[in-house]
Amino acid sequence: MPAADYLVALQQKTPREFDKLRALLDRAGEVGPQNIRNPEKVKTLGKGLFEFKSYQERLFWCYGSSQGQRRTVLLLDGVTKKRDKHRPSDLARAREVMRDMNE
Amino acid sequence: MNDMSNVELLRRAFDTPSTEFEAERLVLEASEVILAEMERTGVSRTDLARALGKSKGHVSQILSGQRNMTLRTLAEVAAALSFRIRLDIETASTRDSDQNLDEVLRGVTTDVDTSARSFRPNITAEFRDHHRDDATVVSMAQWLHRASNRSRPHLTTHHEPHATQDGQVVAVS
Repeated sequence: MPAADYLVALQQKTPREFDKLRALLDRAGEVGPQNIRNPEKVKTLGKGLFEFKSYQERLFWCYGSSQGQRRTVLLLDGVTKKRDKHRPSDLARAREVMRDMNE
Repeated sequence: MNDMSNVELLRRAFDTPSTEFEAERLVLEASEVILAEMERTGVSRTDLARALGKSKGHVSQILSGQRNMTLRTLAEVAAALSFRIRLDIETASTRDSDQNLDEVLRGVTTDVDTSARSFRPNITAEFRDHHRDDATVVSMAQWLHRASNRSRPHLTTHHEPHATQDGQVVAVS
């Protein structure tokens, strides 16, 4: 589900899970996502795609296009899942959005 | 779903004080402090589990947040790794908010680790909302901005290892 829709839906359906994910984003903002050491929380998926993991909540992200040294973190797509392994369709969708954003 | 209402809903949600948010933030910070010390001293999860007299799975559950990390748990881990946990109250007025956007984003985009420990977002960029086809992408910048401008008290853990070999005390937070 597109990131904004996913976050709004999560906040409305399970506010506690939303708050946990919010805490992870807050932490990423404080130290920079690349400096979060816990592989349970931030994972590299390859080819510029990453994910924030907060228990069953997964938020795909990538770095935005740069303007000099300015880059932002773009939240692409979100899914709720129990297993660690992603469905190929979820990954494909996230990569598609990432390509779209970086064109 | 209407994008503008999404924006407003998220802004409100990201600004709402929440016990769950504060609890999770502390868990994340505590696990990062522990992982940093493990990395610095070359202690593996297996080593830590052995020192605690617990299983490796137990340690993984603590670090992932799946197992409730109590103050006692934290103290046990700290003792096993020979460091000490300190708690500080942090308010909005005591947080370093002088850094400009360039400094903040340099911390995000480079591999230079030196800025990371004093990383305090002060992003003032406009909310960015891209809607292409069925994909909505929002920049994290806004949320960092909102997160950095809380006026309510802010509790953080600080990690202060014992004196280093040359006697210098290094505080990491």
